[in-house]
Amino acid sequence: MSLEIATAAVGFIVLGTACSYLLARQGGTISNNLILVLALFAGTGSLLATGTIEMAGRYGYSTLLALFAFTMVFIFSPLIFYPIRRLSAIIRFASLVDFLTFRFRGKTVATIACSCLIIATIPLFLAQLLALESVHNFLFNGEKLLFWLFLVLVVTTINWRSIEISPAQNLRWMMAAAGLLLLLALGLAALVSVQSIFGSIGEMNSWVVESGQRFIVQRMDSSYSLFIIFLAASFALPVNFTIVISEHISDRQAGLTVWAYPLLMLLASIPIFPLLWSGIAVQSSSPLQDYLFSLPALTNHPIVAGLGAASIILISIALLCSMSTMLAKMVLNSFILPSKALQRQPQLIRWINLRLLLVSSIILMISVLLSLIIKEHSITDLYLVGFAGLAQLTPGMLASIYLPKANRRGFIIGLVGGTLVWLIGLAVPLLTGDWQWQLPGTDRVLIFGMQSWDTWAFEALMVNIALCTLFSVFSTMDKQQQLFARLCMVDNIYIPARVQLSQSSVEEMKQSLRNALGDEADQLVGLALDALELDKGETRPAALRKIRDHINSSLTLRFGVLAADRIMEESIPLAAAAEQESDDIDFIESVLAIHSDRLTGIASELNKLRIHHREIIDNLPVGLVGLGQNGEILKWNSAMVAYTKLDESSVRGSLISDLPEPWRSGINQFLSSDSSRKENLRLELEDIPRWFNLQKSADQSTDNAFILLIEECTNSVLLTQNIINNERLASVGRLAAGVAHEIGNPLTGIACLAQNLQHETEAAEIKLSAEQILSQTDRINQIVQSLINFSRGDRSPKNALQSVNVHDAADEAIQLLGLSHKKSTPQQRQQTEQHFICTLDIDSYILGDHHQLVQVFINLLSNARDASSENSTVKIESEIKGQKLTILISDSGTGIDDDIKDRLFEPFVTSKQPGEGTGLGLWIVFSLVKNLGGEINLSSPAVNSDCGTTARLQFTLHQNK
Amino acid sequence: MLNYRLVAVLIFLGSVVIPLASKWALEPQGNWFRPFVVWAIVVFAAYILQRHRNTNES
Repeated sequence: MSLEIATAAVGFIVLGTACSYLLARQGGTISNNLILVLALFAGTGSLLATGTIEMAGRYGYSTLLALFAFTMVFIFSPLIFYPIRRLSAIIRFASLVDFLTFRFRGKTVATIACSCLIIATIPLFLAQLLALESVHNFLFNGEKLLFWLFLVLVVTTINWRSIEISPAQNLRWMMAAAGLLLLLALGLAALVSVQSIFGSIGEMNSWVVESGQRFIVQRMDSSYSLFIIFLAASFALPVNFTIVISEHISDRQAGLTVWAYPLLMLLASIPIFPLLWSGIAVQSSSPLQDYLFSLPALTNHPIVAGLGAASIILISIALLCSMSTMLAKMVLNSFILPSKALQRQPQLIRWINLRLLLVSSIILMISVLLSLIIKEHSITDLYLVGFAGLAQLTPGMLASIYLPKANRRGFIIGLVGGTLVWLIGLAVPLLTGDWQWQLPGTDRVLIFGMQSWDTWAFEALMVNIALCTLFSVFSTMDKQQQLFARLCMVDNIYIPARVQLSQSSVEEMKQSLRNALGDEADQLVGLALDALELDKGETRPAALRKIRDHINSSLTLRFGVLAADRIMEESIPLAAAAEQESDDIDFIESVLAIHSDRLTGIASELNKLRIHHREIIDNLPVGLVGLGQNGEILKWNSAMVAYTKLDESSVRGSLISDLPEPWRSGINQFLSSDSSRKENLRLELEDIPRWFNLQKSADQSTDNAFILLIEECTNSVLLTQNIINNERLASVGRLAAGVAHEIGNPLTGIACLAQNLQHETEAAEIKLSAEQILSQTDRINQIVQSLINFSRGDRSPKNALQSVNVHDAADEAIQLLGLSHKKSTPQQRQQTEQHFICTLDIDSYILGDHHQLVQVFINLLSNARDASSENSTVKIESEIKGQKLTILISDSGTGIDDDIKDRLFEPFVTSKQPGEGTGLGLWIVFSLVKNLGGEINLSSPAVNSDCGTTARLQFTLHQNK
Repeated sequence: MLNYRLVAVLIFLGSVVIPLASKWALEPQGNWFRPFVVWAIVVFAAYILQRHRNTNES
């Protein structure tokens, strides 16, 4: 039978671990969640497999209450674990000791908390060893020494493997396998026992009533003590803290534990009483703690017995492995690493791993030795004592998140006092056996040991709480303690201060870290950059702070709070003025944005007000830049994004001196000046000049932060320039009007004399000249009239406009150009006409004034001719699109100089030599074309050419009547 | 900040639900598995509350 059970046990162990391993390898949400919950469930160790049946026999339904209390830590985890989880997103805590060290500060805290936790956990180790020993005794009853050696070897091997790879992942699936086997074993063992012993569940129910067991189990002895101690112990159980907080499971997974863990505990609790009653009914001689495998064996179910034995073996070994590595990590973080010069240690990780293995093996050996000398105690006793010891860590843990006044002195004295009471009252009697002491002068006898378990467990906790309260109330806290007390508060959100770092780039940080950590520094910085999705060239102070926080968090997880603090202070210290800096407003805003739905009452209203003000700032039509003490950009509103084309996320957190040109120099010069306002700062943005008014807050706040307002005034500046130009043009116009008026009188005289000449001569040549003089004086008259009209700012009256043939006007202009004094002979005139190639449409009419149009052509054609060489041609072409007529006058001359291109239509602007041109020609053309309702522009080089100029005139076609 | 809703729920649980549930679960004439029924109800309530919390957070 024993061999069958042993074979089945080995088979189930192999099968269970293989299933769990495959499930872990498969991954996926369901698999991961299942493994997580089963591993947590297995964290209770052999308690459910062995101890609870004995507890049920000893305390009845109080056992259920104790187990239910043990699950309450998860039901109420939003009140207990969630605040620590929220903080652990910033500071990764490897263990409860690290959290307490972070909260209460100092190496003394780490040393005492770690020592107490190890001492309190030893009974749990002993319980696992006792459970394994009982299975060994039942199956083989052989040589114990070999058994212990084999056990130490197995645990050490598993530990080494898991430490080398990843303790969290490796041990988790092993514990999950143990949890799964335990659930199956409890269910099947209860089922086969009840079936074999009672026949059916109904029969068992009848037996329970008849035998009086119903009344026996309903007793609630020690229920209050059991409830309190189990509840308190569940807070401090290393497995719970490690999985829920240190291993950084997702919020969804943490939420899953709220109901899944109590559900598994419920499923595991249901078979306890049927197993107990089966054993009582059959009058089994085996201890209650062996019922899981002894009852199925008794009822001839070796497979189920094997399953029970397998579950106990696996769950005990899994817990021994996980707890020994956890405790080893605590020892290293609290005792060894804080004073170790890590940079001098080559292959640091391997060195740490070896120490972890060594310490975990030492803890295991001590436990084995203690188990050999321990007096006869059951697994239940060991668990009760162990839980009472673990409960001593709970007041400090709860005070950390709920009582800001709890201080280091109170915590240390409370913990030491409570642990001493526990040691004297419960732990030492485990080794020595129960003993009594009569109080001097009284007849009262104090019983030390398990006989007064509930008294000592409760009193140790009360002493702890009382001392902690007393010393916290009557002693003061330094500023550092106050700061960290605030950080750990349940309703506090970790807001990193906007501190200044000594380093200004990632490379500098890495270099500095190398001095403290050696090659590990590169990996740490790389991980931080990957996690934060930042570039290694990052120089923004806000980004560097985030990298520092991430490195600090990783260091805390790897080496503990004390070592991490030391490394950070040595490598990436804060600048001296750090304490005066304000909180990271940007971070506060982002946190409020994420958690806004949780705000209620006045907090919600204040948040709405915040959003309203933020929107106002964001939507301001002027640019707003918030600057910190060191010139760090804290605020960059949408107007600034529009001005600079720089995204807010890329700018925020960087220094103002890191802005691209021309903003950097423009703003820095203004900031360094004493003036609080600068007007019309000219900046070339994308080769376009733009103007801005700058203003900074005159009254600087206490932390030297100030506000910079930037308003674009380009339109205003351009408008002012236009007004100045117009004023200049207007003055020229008035001058022209005056000149025109003065020209009018001699012009009339010239016209009269020309008419006389025409009438008094017979010579055809002179008549033609007189006629041309009259024509020219008429044109001068028209020009003078145009100048007067232009200077008055009005156009020709609409009723004076008529259909004008464009071709005729151009033709006339060409003829008139032929009469210039330089080329007055008929041959020369012929040459001049040939110089111009006019292909204008002869049927194109526009609404306008013939003389004005002729004047336009004359000016443009004469300019084209003057710019062209002797044998070149000037083309006059037209394009008609719909009702639009475009006239193109192109030459192949020298073109227009770049420096006058923009001012061609201004008066007195010319590229000709002094004395050759007045600079009024194009100005008159411009005014005349405008007067005719057309548009003109010049392009140089000419259209479809690499030289010359094209004048493009646009008019609306008019139907000739 | 004090969470009034949580305090109200705890007072209700402590003064009404727990005494009634305890009395019912430990009734001398009741079935032995009554405490487990109470426990199962608590698990179900925790599941509903957690699902509600998940819905709010997503």
